[in-house]
Amino acid sequence: MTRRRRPKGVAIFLALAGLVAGDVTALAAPTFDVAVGLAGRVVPDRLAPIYLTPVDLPSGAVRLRVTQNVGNAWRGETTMSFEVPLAPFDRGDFEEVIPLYAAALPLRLELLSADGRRLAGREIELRSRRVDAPFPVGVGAFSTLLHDQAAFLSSAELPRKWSAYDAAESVWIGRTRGGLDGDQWDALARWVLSGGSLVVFTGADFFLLDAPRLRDLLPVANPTLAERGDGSRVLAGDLRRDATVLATKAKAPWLIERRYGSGNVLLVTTDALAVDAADLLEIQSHVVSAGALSLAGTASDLLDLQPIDHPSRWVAALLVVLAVITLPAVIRSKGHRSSTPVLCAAFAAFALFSWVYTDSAQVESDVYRTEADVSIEGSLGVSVSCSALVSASRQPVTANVGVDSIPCEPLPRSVESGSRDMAYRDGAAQITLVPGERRFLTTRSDVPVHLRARLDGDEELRLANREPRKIADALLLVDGEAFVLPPLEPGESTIYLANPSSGRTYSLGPEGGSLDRLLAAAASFLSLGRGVWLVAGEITETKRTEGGIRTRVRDVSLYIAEVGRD
Amino acid sequence: MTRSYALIDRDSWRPYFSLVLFCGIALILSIPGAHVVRDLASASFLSALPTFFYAHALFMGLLGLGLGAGSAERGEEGTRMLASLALRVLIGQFLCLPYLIFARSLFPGRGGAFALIALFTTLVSLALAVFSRLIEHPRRPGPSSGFLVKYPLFVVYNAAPLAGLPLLSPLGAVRLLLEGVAPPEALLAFALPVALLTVLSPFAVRLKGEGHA
Repeated sequence: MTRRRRPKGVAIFLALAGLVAGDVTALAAPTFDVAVGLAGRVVPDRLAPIYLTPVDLPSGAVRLRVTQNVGNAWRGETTMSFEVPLAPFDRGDFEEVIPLYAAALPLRLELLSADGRRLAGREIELRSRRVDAPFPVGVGAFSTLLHDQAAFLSSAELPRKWSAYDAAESVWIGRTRGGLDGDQWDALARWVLSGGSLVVFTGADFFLLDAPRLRDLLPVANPTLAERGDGSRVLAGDLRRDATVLATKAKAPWLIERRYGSGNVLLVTTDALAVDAADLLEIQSHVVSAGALSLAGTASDLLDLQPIDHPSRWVAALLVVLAVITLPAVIRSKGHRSSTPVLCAAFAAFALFSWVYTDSAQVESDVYRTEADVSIEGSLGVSVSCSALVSASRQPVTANVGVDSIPCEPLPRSVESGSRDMAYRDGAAQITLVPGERRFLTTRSDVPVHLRARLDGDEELRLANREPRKIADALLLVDGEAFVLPPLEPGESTIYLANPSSGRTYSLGPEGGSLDRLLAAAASFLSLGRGVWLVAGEITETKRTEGGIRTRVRDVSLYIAEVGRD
Repeated sequence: MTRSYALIDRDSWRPYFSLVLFCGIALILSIPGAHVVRDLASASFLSALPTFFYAHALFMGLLGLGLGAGSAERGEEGTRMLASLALRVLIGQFLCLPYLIFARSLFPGRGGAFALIALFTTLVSLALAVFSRLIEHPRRPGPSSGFLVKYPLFVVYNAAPLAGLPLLSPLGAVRLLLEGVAPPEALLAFALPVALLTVLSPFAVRLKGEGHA
């Protein structure tokens, strides 16, 4: 009896020891500090910043993997995983921007070593951070509550990547202790360029905030502080051509608006602590909600127009006719001894013809991909892209899609479990394409300024094309009036404008073509009918073979640059 | 003096003609009629299937049956009969070479699968040729009864395994070889024609020729 009990006792002892040891290991495991969301809030299906603080980071951690499970057994389940290198923590927290699809399940974060070993991990609960719609974000101090839904950040907490503001309806810059750094201003400027909405309180606080990028954003040039009739200090300056004074106080402009790219900047010439509730209501009535250019629908249309590769049916028919005629003809005309070699020679010739004809141009591609890319350029540049993909293969194919930044994919309400999984790593997203099903990967990234242009008088356009190649199709839009430009040569050039094209309609490239459709989509978002814009575009076609998967890529690129005027 | 057998002559070209004609039609039907991506959804369902390879497997099998019957009619015998059947099957495969090369452009990057399919269909055709030679032997019941036995069996061989073990059907095997299968599955696909050849060939070699040739 004792003998029988001994193994059981040993097993219980070992199990308890294992539990204790596991607990001790868990206690000893390295951990790390992490924050998710803009001001700690996340809006489903939007991008959100994620910050890692360099405290208790395990040594040897060089990569971060974020995994998110989306959906459920009824809607279908999808796993999104993003793996990025951990940049050196020389400027505070590590910041990355990832799409958050749902808040029901926690976000899993893992720190990995160079060889992919998991060093530490933790889960972040999202349910309590979830808000349903974009919200106003206040930075610094204000005299009165901005909005019921507003979130507040200190200037140090403000993101340094423009796509991190995706959940913001508007950003209000109030009184800050040390102002914003250059990266933060650049991020805000890029966000406004792409459709964001910025409210800046200045007045006596202007010189706390002053930065070259802020001066570029403001509706007034050469800003100076002036004293108003009521004794308060306000920001004054030369009104820019595209600025509008919305309200005045004591005969001095108080609220000035300006379009910046596809977004808006609202300048309050007094400081944030000098406004009362009535002023705030007045300001709120002029704030335009931030928008974001969505290219998924347009990319789908452009994908429809992409030519597909396959050999001609007529050539195949010719080959069949030749074979069908040759076979009986040779048999009937030759004796039974000589017919076989003649037949073999004839069919060898047909095989050679097949070989020569079915070169790479005729070969069917497995995947067709249309890349719709819009670059919006001012003194900075942003790019909004959408890759639309479809498989022509007869079976599911796994594609590696090169992207500029972590992509976001609009997910349908219901999916087949696993069919929408995505694994992003080092500039490539790995996805599986089910035959006939389309996938759309959208990205937002910084781009260098490709085109700079300045309109001298009414006839002379001085421009610089920093692309190493000629851009074939270009237009100049002056308050909705279109001037067709010759191809933009690389480097600097001067173009003398001829008469505008007739009517208020214009097209880039062939009418109804891919470039023209992309321009139509961008024009409605950017309101290109106002102001001076240089619009240029190009289409490139490439074929790539990766992992045995042949992909035909059509790149439809549109550059939209704000044109300065003398 | 050793008798020499004609590989293709005025009496034996018809099975080849069927092969070339119907594989050619299948090749044409395999090519999508679409010009742009939008048309892919409405493209013919035949172009969404490996139609050419189905036809190739089917008509190589029928060629084998026809060649076996022709060999019996001519009274060919012994190992030379077996060698001439193999050569005729290879000629059939060679006549399809222009199509196979053309079909590469419809299934890019699957060169290995093409080679496996060519080898598989050759083996199936040869196994069926030997089977047909045995069935059509003049000492067995007349040609009409041979016809009644072998074609229904051919239909069963192609269709029945599709319900449960598609690798055992030539149609299922070519599809799976084209899509890519693990080596054990590929071996299973080849097992049946190889087993048929191994079992039937000794019987076929021992047959005495009593044909019209």
